Amino acid sequence: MRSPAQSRRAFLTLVVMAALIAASRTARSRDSFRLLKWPANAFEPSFSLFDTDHRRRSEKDFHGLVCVVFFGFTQCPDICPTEMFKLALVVKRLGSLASQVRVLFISLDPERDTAPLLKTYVTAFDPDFIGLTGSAADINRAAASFSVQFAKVPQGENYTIAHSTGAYVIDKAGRLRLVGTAKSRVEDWLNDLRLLAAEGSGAAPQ
Amino acid sequence: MASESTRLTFLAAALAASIRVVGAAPIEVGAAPTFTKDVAPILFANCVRCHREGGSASSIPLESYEAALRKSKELRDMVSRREMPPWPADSAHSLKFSNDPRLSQADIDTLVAWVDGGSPRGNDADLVAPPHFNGGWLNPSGRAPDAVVTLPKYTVAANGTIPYIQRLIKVPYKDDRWIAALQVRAGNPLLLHHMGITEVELPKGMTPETMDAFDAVARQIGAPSGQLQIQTPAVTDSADPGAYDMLAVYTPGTTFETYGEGNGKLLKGGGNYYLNFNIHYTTTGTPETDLTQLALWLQPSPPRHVLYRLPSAVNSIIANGRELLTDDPGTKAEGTAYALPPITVNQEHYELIGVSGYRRAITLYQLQPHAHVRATDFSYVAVYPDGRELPVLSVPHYSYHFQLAYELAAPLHLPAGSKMIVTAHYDNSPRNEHLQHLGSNEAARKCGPENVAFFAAQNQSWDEMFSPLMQYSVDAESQRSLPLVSAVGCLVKDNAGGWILSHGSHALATREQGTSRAELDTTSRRMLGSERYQLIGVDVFKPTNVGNAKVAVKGVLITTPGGRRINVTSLQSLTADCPH
Repeated sequence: MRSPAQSRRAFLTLVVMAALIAASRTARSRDSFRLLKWPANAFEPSFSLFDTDHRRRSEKDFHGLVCVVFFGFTQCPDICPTEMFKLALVVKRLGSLASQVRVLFISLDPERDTAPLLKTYVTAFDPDFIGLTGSAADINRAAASFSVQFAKVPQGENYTIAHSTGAYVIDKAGRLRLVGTAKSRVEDWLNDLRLLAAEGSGAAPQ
Repeated sequence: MASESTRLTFLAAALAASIRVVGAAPIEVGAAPTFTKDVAPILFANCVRCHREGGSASSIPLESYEAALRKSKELRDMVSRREMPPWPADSAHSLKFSNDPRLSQADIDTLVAWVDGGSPRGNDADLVAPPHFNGGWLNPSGRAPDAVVTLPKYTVAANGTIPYIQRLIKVPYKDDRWIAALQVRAGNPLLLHHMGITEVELPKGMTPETMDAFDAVARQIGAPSGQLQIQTPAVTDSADPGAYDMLAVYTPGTTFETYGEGNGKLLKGGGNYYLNFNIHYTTTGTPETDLTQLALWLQPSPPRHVLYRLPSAVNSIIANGRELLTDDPGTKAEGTAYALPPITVNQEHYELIGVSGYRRAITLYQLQPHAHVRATDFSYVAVYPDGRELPVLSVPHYSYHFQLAYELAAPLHLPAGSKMIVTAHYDNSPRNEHLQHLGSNEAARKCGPENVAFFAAQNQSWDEMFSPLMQYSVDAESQRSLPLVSAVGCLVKDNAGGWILSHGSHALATREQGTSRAELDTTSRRMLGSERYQLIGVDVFKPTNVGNAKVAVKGVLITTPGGRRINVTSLQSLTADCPH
């Protein structure tokens, strides 16, 4: 049978161990990404498009910032507004870190998404969101470089666009690192964008 | 015990059968054919390649009397309707093929008479030996394969989307090898929808394991397997570096293939080479396992003709009457450089016409149309440099279940300046009989006409494809490569009903057979000139719709003493009239 002193020591040991385990779990969850990791050594995506102020923009223009790239179209009835709303919420909750993050919305519908319409659309979610468009060939190239699949689907006299729904995260050094999906939660986004914001421009991917 | 009336019926049937087969040499008038003497030789020669244990139709074996007796009624019905052996091609509008398995009328009459005559066994002494398939392989010579590649066992879930699976198997040879024949054997034909096998080179230091990490992400973001990887085809056509060889293609219905005297396919050895098995499984409603194999028969020395297999007639594509532009918005459909418009809900008539021109002389050996359940028909037509058209293959009742590779009985030589036109139709309405008997699993439901069918970068069975495969060699004696050109001019009809590009510009060399929107913007500013070109193979571009317009034309330029012709691969209207 143990003495009261032994029991106290055993109890304290347990408390310390539990605290250590909890601390290590917290550290692990803080340090690890929750969105899908883009494989190292995969090709790097690129784009050369125009923003809604008619300036040509490429991925290089955003070096030093964490970029979230989403492909969609303004008449998209469901997934685009849902994801854009989610990203707007994330940016809002980032607080001061939001200055290190840019959200880019690349239109897959150059025929209907004029620059003014695109600007109205993206800024309705957040005034700092950037809309990008270009020729069909430029958009095809950009989409293919991110492995985005899309197709124009006739609907009577009109059409809609079926497309992939990933949101691609490029780090400050210009490397594609993560992909968010419709299942990714706001908390996952906050966690990962904070981690990337804390990295330097030349940090090696984890 | 048979009643008197049954016996009378039997005798009447036997008599009727014997009357029908008068003229078929081996059967005496009045005698019912027997299995051992009359039926077994027909089944052994024509059916048991598939209908045997281990064969692709193993559920209906026909190797023994007992097995054939069990299925005799089905046998009679299928052969008399000519549904078996399967041959979806229309011989009246096709060339002759060496693997045409159709039975002669005399053989069909014998099988029907045997069944109607009570399916007698006959004398065992008459029975010929069944064919021997060495190790289950179908090489008629009986020679065992020189190499067999066995894929890891794979279990497919009962339902759900099965992404393309990529298996990379290291090429074991230190130097190049030449393949004389090959066979893909599906471990489970119900699961294996199709499989393309291409030899690829991975970057130095890359292994299949590192590639798997890429695919894990690709699957989760809905990108095609292999999309994120960096790998290059190992065997390319030196005359057309963009064209790479698919070593083998398995589709339901394909089997052993041999390349003939002097022909072969290249298997590169020595580098970081892998056989890339791009496998598409489909679900059956119950979990199942597959263990697929590739067998290779090698030849000791390089062949005179190196064979390449790739989708043909996809350099330009006309969808529902509109010639697509290479930069139309959308993801490029698998095997093409075009975003093919999806087939909409209940769309009954959907047409794709593919065109490819040949700058050098080629020889064709094999044609293999591939699409999914909505495809209803395919046709291949060659257009010679003098404008003659030759129907090569017509498949008026394309069947997803029997996607044969049609082996030309005599290889077809196409001189430089020829072109191939492939037309396919699709039906996404309830009228399409293929959509009526799909079952009830998830894959079947997604094939229903209430769904849009996409031509994606990689396709599930409920998506669609336009993949008119062709196996060919570049003729060694053909040093001449004709120019691929573009020109603008006025489209007019000549007195003989042909089409002329009058007041044409100079023909400028171009690299692509199709046209982009950006290119059209530039071309529309080109000035007319004084050149005149005869346009051939132009009907698929519906010239009557744009007659007398200013048009931009691309194609292979053929210069003859009588003038210049363009075998057209692209025709785009620039302006409605053509002032000159």
